Amino acid sequence: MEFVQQVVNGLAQGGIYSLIAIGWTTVYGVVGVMNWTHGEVYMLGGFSGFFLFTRLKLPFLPGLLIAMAVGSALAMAIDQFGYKPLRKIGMPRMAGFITALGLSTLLRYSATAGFSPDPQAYPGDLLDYRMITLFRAGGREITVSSLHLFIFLGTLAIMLALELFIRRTLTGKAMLAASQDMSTLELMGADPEKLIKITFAISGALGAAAGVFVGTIYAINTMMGSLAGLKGWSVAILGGVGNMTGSMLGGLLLGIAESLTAGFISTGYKDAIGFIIMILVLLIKPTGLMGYSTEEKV
Amino acid sequence: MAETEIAGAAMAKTAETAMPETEMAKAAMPETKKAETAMPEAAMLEVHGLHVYYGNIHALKGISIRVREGEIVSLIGANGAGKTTLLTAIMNQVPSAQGGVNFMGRPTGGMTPPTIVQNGMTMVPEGRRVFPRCSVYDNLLLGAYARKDKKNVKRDIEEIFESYPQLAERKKQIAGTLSGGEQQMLAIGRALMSKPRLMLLDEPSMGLSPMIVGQVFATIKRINGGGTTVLLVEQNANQALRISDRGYVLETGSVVLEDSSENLLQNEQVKEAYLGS
Repeated sequence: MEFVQQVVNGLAQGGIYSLIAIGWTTVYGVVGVMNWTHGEVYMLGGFSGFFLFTRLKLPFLPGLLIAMAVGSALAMAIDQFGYKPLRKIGMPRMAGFITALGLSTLLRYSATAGFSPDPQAYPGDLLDYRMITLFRAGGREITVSSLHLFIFLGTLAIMLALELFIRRTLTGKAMLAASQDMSTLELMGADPEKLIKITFAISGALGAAAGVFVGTIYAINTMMGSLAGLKGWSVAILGGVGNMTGSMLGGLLLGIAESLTAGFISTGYKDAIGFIIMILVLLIKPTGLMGYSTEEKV
Repeated sequence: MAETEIAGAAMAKTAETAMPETEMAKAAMPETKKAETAMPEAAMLEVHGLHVYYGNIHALKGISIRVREGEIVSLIGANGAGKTTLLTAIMNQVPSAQGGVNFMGRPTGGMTPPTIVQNGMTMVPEGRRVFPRCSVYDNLLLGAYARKDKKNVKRDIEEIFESYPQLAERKKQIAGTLSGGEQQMLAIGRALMSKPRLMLLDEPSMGLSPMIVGQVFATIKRINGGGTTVLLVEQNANQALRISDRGYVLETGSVVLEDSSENLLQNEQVKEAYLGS
């Protein structure tokens, strides 16, 4: 069945959206800033992978881990030099937002100047490529490429690891509490700045991982962060801002929706569907699929 | 009706656990005495001439208060008198323009709120502020976030569950689903998890039914019996003064009256303005 095949096709891209969205939503939850540089961290993660795989000829897993570390460092640096000075003087939210937009543009065009505006591709032999038959449905074989399957499972593994970290460790629980009420968490002796650092580190690692995963199926370019960043934010809204599980589901839904749009309507409308969904969510259920309705804190 | 039962159970528990805690307080005594001989006049908490502004609003106009070790001190006053501002300024959660705070002989001026907590002072904020989407157990666990002796944390959580059985029954439930009284108990229990020497409580009786209010005040008294000094902000002046040693009356950012609780309860002005008689 064509429908099932399109759903399967959308899962890998969906997992990538989930990773991007979780990076967005954790930072928004804990720090309260709409981090528009996230798309750029994703793009630079993809380029770190390109450098590690083509120049240093690293195998996939070490390359992925190093790129994630680079993403962490980059996100922490963005916070240190971009947002932290504003927090110190009691940043109004709008100031953080403007800073984020500016930094995002700066990073995007610096990268274009530094690398090249041309698309780049990872080495073809980086990962094993073949078609795998998953099952038969309606007299048709449902297939998936080993790359897509690998990416989908990889994104799931990363999300599962993060979920375990948040649910099982004291630091993870503190992050969850911080996203609910930072000033009360402070009264338990937790240093907000430390938690914010950890949050940016995690967000950066997820963004970079998404960038590397994308690089394994598509050519990457220095402009790719802007659309991915927007889509990540719409997924975060779809899932309910501040809710990790919501972002995860939202990402998969968007991936599937895009694949169905491409398959049944036209590839031209693929990118629009995410934003149509976002607008519908905002109109019908503004808290998102799994969002919390909270009053704005004074 | 369920709440009445819970309250009854907790009160029975209060009577049972009173003994061991008095012993605990005794055990802590020698240390206390040594401190007193070294600095006979030093209070545990000294606030001197504190001024706080919110933009153009002069919220605290040179407030000075003292809390001695082992006391329960009440701050009473109407809405907008500056009670909450004073507590948040003591915790350094709002900046003070002038004046200062000494805690256990050390100025807290340069400390961040977490550092103050690590030094032994904590606050149960107004409106309880439990983490609504974390479990009861995790709320308590987070209360011990800054503690160095992590291995004792589990045991201390069990102790809190023994003192508040209604929390034990709900330890896996998310805190947002608890009743107001249970949330207040959780907020107090969570503050206890940091092993404070001084606990600031901001309106613990707010929005609770009279039955539960009684339970909350009994709990505060019991915590004090266990050796924790208490600075209590309350609009329920009557109950607050009944459990406290001394009290301050705040009006529009200034201390207008300071006396023993007994005297304040008899004071005609206080009676008229705050005790509703």
